[in-house]
Amino acid sequence: MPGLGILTIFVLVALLAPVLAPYDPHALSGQPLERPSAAHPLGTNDIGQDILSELIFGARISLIVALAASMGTVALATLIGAAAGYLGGWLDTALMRGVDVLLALPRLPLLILLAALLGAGLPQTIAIIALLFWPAAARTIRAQTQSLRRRGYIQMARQLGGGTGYVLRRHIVPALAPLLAFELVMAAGRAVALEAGLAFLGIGDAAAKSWGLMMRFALNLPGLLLGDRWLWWLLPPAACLTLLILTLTCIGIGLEERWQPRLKRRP
Amino acid sequence: MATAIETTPVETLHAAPLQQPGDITSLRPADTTSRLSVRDLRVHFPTACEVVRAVDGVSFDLAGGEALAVIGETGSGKTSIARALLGLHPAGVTTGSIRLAGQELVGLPEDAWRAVRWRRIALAAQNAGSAFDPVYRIGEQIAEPLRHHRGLTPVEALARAILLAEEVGLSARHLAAYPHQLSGGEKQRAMLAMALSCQPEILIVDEPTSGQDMLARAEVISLLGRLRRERGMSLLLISHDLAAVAQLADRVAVLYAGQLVEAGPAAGLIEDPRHPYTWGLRNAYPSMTTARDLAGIRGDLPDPTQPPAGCRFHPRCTQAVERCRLVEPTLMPLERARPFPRQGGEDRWIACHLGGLQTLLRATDLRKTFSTNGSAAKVEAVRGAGIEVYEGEVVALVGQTGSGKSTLARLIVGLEQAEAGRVELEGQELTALTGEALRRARRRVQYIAQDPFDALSPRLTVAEIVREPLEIHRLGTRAEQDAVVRDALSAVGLPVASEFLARHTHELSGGQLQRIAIARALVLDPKLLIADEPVSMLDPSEQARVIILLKQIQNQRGMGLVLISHDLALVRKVADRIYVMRAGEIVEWGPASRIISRPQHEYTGALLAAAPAFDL
Amino acid sequence: MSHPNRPSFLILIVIAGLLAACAAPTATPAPVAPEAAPTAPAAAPASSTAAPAPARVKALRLVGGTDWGYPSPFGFNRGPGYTRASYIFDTLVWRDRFGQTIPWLATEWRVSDDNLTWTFTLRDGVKWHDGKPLTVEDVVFSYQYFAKTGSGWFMAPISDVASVTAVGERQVAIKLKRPFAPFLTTIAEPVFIIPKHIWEKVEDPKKFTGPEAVIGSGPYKLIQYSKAEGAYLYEANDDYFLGKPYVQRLEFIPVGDVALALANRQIDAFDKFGGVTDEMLAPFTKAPFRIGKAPGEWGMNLYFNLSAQSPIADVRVRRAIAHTVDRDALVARLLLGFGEPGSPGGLPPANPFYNPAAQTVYPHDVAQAKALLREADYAEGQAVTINLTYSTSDNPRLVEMLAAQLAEAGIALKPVPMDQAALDAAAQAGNYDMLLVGFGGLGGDPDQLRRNFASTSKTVGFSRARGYASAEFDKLADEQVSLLDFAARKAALDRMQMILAQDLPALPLYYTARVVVYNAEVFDNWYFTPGGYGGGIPMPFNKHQFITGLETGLKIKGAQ
Ligand code: SF4
Repeated sequence: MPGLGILTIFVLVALLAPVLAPYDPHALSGQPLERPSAAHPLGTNDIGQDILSELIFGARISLIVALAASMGTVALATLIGAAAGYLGGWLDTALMRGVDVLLALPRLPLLILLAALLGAGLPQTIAIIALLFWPAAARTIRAQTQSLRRRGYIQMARQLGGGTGYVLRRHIVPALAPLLAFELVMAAGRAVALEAGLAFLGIGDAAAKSWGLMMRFALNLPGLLLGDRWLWWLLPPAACLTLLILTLTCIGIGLEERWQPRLKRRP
Repeated sequence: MATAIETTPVETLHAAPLQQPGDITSLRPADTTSRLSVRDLRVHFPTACEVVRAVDGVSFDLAGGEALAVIGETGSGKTSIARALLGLHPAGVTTGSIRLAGQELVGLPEDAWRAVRWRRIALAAQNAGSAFDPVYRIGEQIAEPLRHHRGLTPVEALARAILLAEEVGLSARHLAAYPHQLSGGEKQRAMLAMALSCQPEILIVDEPTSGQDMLARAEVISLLGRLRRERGMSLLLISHDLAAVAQLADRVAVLYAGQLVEAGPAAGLIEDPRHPYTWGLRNAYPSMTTARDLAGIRGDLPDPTQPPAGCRFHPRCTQAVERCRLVEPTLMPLERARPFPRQGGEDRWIACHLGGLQTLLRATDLRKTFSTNGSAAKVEAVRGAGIEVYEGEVVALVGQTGSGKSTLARLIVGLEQAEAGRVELEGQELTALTGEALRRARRRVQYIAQDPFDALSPRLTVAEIVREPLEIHRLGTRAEQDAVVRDALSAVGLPVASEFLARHTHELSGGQLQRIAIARALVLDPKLLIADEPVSMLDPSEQARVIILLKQIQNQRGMGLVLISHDLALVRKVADRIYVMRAGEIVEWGPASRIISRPQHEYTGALLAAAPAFDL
Repeated sequence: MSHPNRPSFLILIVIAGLLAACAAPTATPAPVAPEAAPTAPAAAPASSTAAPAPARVKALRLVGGTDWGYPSPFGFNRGPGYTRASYIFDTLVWRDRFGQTIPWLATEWRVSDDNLTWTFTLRDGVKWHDGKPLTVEDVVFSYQYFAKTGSGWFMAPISDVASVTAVGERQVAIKLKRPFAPFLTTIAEPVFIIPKHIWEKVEDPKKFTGPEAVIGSGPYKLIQYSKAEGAYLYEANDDYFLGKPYVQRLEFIPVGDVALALANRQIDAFDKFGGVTDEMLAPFTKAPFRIGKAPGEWGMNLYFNLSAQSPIADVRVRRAIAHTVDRDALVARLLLGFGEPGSPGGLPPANPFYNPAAQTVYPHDVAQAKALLREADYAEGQAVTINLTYSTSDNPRLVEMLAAQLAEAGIALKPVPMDQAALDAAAQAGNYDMLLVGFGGLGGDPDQLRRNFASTSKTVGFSRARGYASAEFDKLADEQVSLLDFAARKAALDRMQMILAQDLPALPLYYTARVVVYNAEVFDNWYFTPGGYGGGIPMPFNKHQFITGLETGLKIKGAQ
C-alpha cells in the first residue's frame, strides 16, 4: 500500500525531527520574515523562527494528535458503541439517543464550547477531537456489534456463561477489529484536519508548532497572498497537511475494502 | 448445583427411618390372602474360593390368583429364585424364608418338598426342548407326574393327559409324537400341560416366550392368560419379555444382580418406569412396533461373586451420586423413597437413593412472544409448552418448521428470555438462580445449534472453539483443558492432530463442523444435551452418521438428550420418548413406541404419514 | 451503515478551516470584546434613491468583522465601539486633524476665572434623528444621566462635574468640583448628548436596545447591525447641522486578509497597529493607494495585580521581570519594528507629557533580574511560576515570546487564556496575577495616569490597576488635574511617571505605530487625530473627516 509508505515517511520525520530540523523551532534563529536562504531554506516566520524547522516539528503534533485523538475516539466509540450494541435494552436506547443528540448538535459551536470548557493545549485539543468524533464511530460500531450479537457463536458464548467482558474481549472486539482499524485511520485523518482547523480558529495551544498554526500565522500577515511569501510559508504546511490527510484516507479506504467483504461473506 | 443434588436426597433419607430388608411385610401392605410370602431370600452358591450371590435378599408376596412377573436381564437371578421356590437348590444354599400358605419351606427335608413340588408349586421350565426325554413320547411324559405324584393308573393318567393337552391346545397326535417331532411352541404347551398336571396352586413360568416366533409367542401369552383365569391359580412369570409381561402380569418386580430394584403394578411400571434400571431395560427392549434399535444400558451385569458396594446398579447408573457407591438402597414405597414426592406412586416400590429416575429437566408452561419488526403484530412462538427429560433418556421434540420447537429449546437453554413459565434443571429452578450458581447450572445443559457455521466463531481455531466452554468456566489448567479437548474430539471421531486443531471453520466440512459443535458441547460433561436440528444442514449420509454419533455419546456418557427435529423418521430410531409440538403447544407426548404405533393426535398422524422411510 | 463521502468530507473540513481562518479577526491590536449585545434594530430601508451631491463619496467600505457592541450610548465596547456610536451621537466639542478642539454642538464656550465653571453656547437648529429639536434641556439631562448611571462612563471622569444647569435657552453652565485641566478633552469632547425625551424613561440603560436607543443628533444613522458578523452599516443624516455629510454611507464589513481585500478593491481602507513592514506595504505605494502613518498611541501592557497572592506582589520580582522582558525585541519581532518599546512611566513618546527618563529605568539585563530575584529570596535555579492571563484574540506570539524571555531569568509563565470579554471582566474584577491588556488613548490627556493608577481614582475598567497605592503618586495625581499651566503640570506628570516606573504596578510593553492604507480614488481625507478623538481614541476613523472631507473646519468639501 503506497499510503503506508508515505505514512512511514511522516512518522520517521516526526521521530527524527530534532535531527532533521536545522533549528529549534521555537528559537528566534533569524530576523522576522526572512526570505529563503541557505541558512533558512524556507525563510523565517513573522517573529524570526525557522519555517523548515517548524514544518518538521509540526509533523510531530499532527501525528501525536492523529494517534491520540483517533485512539481516544475509537476507544470511546468502542466502549459506548459496543456496550450499547451488545447490552441493548434501555442502555442502548439511552446511549444512542445521546449519540443522536450529539450528532445533531452543530459542530462549530460545540467545538468552541468544548474549547472554552477545556482550555487550550495539546491534550485538550486531543480530548476535543475525541469528544467530537466518537458519536459517529460509536454508531457504526454499535450497528456492527448488534449484528455480531445475533451471531450464533456469540449467543452460544453468552449462553455458556461468558460474561460481558469476556464476550466483548474474546469475540466482539476481535470481530470488530477490521472495522476498528478502519475507524481508527479515518478518525486519525479527521483528527489531523480538525487539529489544523482548531489551530486556524485560534482554539488550542497557540505556542504549539503545528501545521495548522503555521498556516494561521501566515494568513494573519496582511497581504500574504499579494507577494510570494505564501510559497514558502503557507504552502508547505498546507501541502503536508493535505498529503497526510489523503494518505490516511487512502489507508482507511483500503481497510474498508478489507472488512466490508468479510461482512458480506456469509449470507 | 451438584452439591445440592448430592446432599438433598441423603438428608431426606436420613429423615425417614431406614428400613431393614426383613421389615418388608408385604408388597401389598394390606394383603392377607397371600398364598406365597418370600422374605429376604438369598441363594448363595459356594464355589472353590468364592460365593456366588445369585439372589441376595429378595422379598415379595404372591396372592391367590395373582400374576407376578419377575423381570431382569439374563443372569440377574430370576431362575435361581424359581429353583429356590421349588427347593431345587442343595441344602444350605437357600436362606431366608419362603412361606406357602403359612408353611415355611426353607429348610424342609427333601421328602417334605416332594409334597410341595409339582403338587402345589409347579414350574414350566425355560428350555422346553431339553426338559423332555427324547426317547419317550410326549403323552407318556405328561402322564408321568400324574402317576408319580397323584398315584393315578397309567390309563387314568393318559386320559388326564389328553384333557390337559386339550387345555393347552395340543391334540392326541401331539401326545403320540416324540419331542423332536414337535415345534418349540408345541413343546412349550406340552411343558405347561405337564406342569399343570398336579393342579398346582402356583405356576412358575420361566421365560415362556423366549426363542419363539411371533405367532407362537402370542399363542403362549393368550394360553397362559386363559389358564390362569380358568384355574384361578397364581402365576409367577419369570421373563425379560416386557411385552409378554405387560399382557400377563398384574404386578412386576424388577430384579437386578440378585436384588429387587423396583416393583409395582405392571401397566404403570412398564409405561412409566421409575428405577433407572427398569428405564434402561424398557428402553433396551426391542419392540415390534418401534423401530428403535440403538438403545441399551451401558456396561454389563456385575460379577455375582463380587457385587458392587452400595447400589448394585451404580456403575451403570447415569445419575449415581456418592451415596450410591457407599450405601445399599432398600426397597421402599416410592412416595417415601423420593426426595421430591410426586403423585402416582402408591403401589410402587423402589430401591433407589434418589427415589428413582431423576427428572433432569422439567420445563413447564413456557411462553414467548416475538414482535414482528416494524408492525404491532405479535407472534406467539411458544404458548405454554413444556417438556420433561429424565436421566439418560433421549427425548425427541418434533414438529414442523415454525412450530416453536427451536424457540422452546432456546428458552430452556437461556438463549431467549421466557415471558412466563419455569425451567427446572435437576430440581433447581433456573430463573431463581443468578451469578455463579446459574453458570454452574448452565454447564449441565449444552446446546447444539442447527447451523454450525453460525454457531462456531470464524475467528477461532478448532482447539480454541472446543476449549472455549472450559475457558469461560475456568476449569482446569491449560494442559488439562487440552486433554479434555482431545478426548472430546476423539469422542466425536475427529482427528486430534495439531494441524487439525489449528484449522479454522472455513477449512472444514459441514459434518466436521457439527462434530466440533458436539465436541464443544461435551467438554463441560453436561447432563443434558439439547440438539436443535443438528443434522438438517448436512447431507443424508452424514445425517445418519451424526445422529448415530449423538446417540452413542448419549449412551456412553449417560446424558439426557433432547433431539429437536422436523423429521419424525429420523428421531424415531433413537428417541425414548417423543414430544410433538404444533403452533407453540405440545399436542402429544409419550414413549416413542406408543407415539409411533398409536399416535393419538391427528397432527402426529400427519407427521408420521409424511415421514419418509428412513434407514440408518 | 452510511459513511459520509470521506474525501469530500475531509476537503470540507480543510475548507471550513481555511474559511474560519479567513473569517477570524486579523491581528488588529484593539481586542475583540463581544458582550451581551442587543439585537439589530429593524433595518430601515436604505433610501439610496436620493441622489447625493456629485462631489460626495457614495459609500466607504471599511474593515468590520468584529463585534464592538450595539452602537447605543451604553451598548458599545472599547474604542472601536465608541467610534461606531460617535457617528450617531454628538458631543459639545470635537477634535480635528491637528488635535485642536473645535466647536461641535457648542458653538462657543468660556471658562470662569476660577476655572470652575464652563459655559457652552448651543448651536441653533440642531435636530434629533426623529425630528425633535436638540435643546439645552437635553444637554443638562445627558450630563446628569451619565453621572447618575455611573462614574465610569467610558472612563470619562464625569464625577468631577459638580452641577450642570441651563443658562437661558441657549447656554449650559457646567460647574466643576475643582479646576480640571483636561475638562475639554476628557469630558466635554467624549460625553454624548442624548435625547432627553427618549432616555428619561429608561431605567436600565444597558438593557435599552431598541431602535430608539440609536436615535442621536449625529451625522449618520444606523441602518444595519449584525452582532454575529461584526457588521455595521450607516447612512448619512442629510439633515445634519453641518449639511449633508461628505461620505454618504459607511460600511464596516467582514473581510479576510485586509491587504488583499484592499488590493482587490473590496474595501477602501484598512488600518494596522504595528506588525507592518515596507515589504508588506509595497503593493500600496502606487496610486490609487496611499499610506498614512502615525506614532503609537495604543499600547500593550503587562499588569501586575499587587493584591494577589503571587510572587509579583514583591516589587523586586516585578523589577526583575522589567529587566528581563526585552521590549526592543518585542518591537522588532512582534511589531516588525513598526512601533516603540513601552515606557515604564506609562505614557508613550507620542504624548506631550512623555518623560523619556522613565523609559530607561529598566534596561534589558537578565543578570540584574536574577540578582533581584535572589534578593527576593528566590534561590538560583528555583522556578518562579506566575499565572499570566491573556486574551485569545491578542497576538499569541506575544505570550510565546514573553514566556521565552522570562524563562531566561528562571521565571515560568502559566498561561491562562480567555476570550476578550472574559479578560476585560477578569481585569475589572482583579481576577488575575499578571495580565496582558492592550488599549489606546495613550496620546490623550495624561490624566489617564491618575484614573488608572491613583488609589483614589473611582474609574472602573480593564485599564485600572489593582492593589497599587502610593501616597506621593496619589497626591501628585490629584494636584496635576488642576494645574492649568503646561510646564507645571508636566513637572508633576514627569514625577508621576518616575514613581510608576519605580513601583511598577504595570509594565507597558510596546506601543504600536499606526498605519492607514487607503484607496485615495474613493476617499483621500484619511488622518490620525493627534491625542485621539473622543478622549483619546487613536484610530483613523474620526467622524470629522467623513463629514467634512477636509482636515479641519466645519465646512463640507465641495459645499457652497
Ligand atoms: S441413583 Fe443411585 S441408588 Fe438409584 S439406581 Fe442409580 S445408583 Fe442406584
